[in-house]
Amino acid sequence: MSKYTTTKHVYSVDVIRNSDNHASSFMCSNVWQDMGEYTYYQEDDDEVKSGAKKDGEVKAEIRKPEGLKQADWDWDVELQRVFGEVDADLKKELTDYFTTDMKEKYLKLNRDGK
Amino acid sequence: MTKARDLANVISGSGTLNANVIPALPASKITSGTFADARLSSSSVTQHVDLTSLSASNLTSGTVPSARLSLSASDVPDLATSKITSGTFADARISSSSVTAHVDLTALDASNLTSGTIPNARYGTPTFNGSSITNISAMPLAPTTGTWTLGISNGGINAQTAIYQKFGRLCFCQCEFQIAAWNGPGFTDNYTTQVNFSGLPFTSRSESSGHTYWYQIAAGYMYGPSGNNPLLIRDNSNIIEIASPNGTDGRRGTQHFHGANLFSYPGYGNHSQFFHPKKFESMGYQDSNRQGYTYMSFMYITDS
Repeated sequence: MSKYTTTKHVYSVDVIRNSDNHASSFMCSNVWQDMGEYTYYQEDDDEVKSGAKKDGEVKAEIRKPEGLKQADWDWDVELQRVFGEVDADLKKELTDYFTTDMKEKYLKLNRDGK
Repeated sequence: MTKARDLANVISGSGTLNANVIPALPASKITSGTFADARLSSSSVTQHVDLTSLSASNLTSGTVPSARLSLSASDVPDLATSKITSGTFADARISSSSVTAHVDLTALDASNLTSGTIPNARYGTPTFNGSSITNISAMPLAPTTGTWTLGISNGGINAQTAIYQKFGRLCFCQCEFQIAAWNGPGFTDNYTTQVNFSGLPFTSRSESSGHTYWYQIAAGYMYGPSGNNPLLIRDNSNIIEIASPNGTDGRRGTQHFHGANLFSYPGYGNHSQFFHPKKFESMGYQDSNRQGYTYMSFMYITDS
């Protein structure tokens, strides 16, 4: 695979397209903290105008936070978005490198800080 | 047989002559033949040859065996060095002065140092001229440059230009973009989950102790319709987090942004800590003069 140069890290792979140095790092999985859904006081609200509440202060809880979540990346989508194509060799290199064990450790990093 | 017949036989050579009748014969009469070794006495030779007093000038051939030689130092004549054509002098035979007469160890030419490595202990406190240092491989004079693609956790980016300049493990990034579609699956105005950007060109430095209270990376700012927002990048990451400019509300700044503490303040706490999704509403296109472009610039430490 001479079109791209890859550098592997603990939880990610850096990819550089050799022709123009267009670069992107890819994490082994998508991890985020679901923080639920809330309504907020806004500038137009009487409570904010009066000073009783601040803009952005929580008004009501609609859905409780669901905590840390993890999902696999769709490499067809990601590679197309970043490089404008899906190189089969590059895709295989990413999927082979990002093992289940690595994803679990990455989740733990985000949850516990290490 | 008569005596006459005996004499005739002797003369002819067929008879015999009694040795007693052979008269004394002068040596001049012996003109041919060779005496057998047994006919020559030792004294007849040694009377003319004194083997105890030989002249070395008479040694005109052959080689005197080494066993016959016994020389003292005084017997050895002066020898030209050109005569020494083989062998190696023992170290003890070479005097110090014979070497230093041609080698001045107090005035060495450094150009003669063509191999080996000078031990660090010999450097002492060297004086270097910075102008002599022309190539430091760890930090090249010219950066690696290229483009990258900004990603966003929710919605899409309408248009962007993102460039980077990388010196060793220092990477300076810039990006200009417009927020496109803001609503995604499950996303509503009440969506509270932190919105962040992604797609760093290189993974941020890996901190062996993991996330700490201190963000691993130097940061930058996002400038645009939403105002100026600090950017933060964690270790081992390709994500750019956007901090709210609203202040820490009295909380410790480092713990205010730390992941472990971040989500202990759902809703209100996170709203003030990080860029709330609702703020992106103000980042979109307004009119021809307020096209909603946002610019960010930051520097961070890469892992490679």
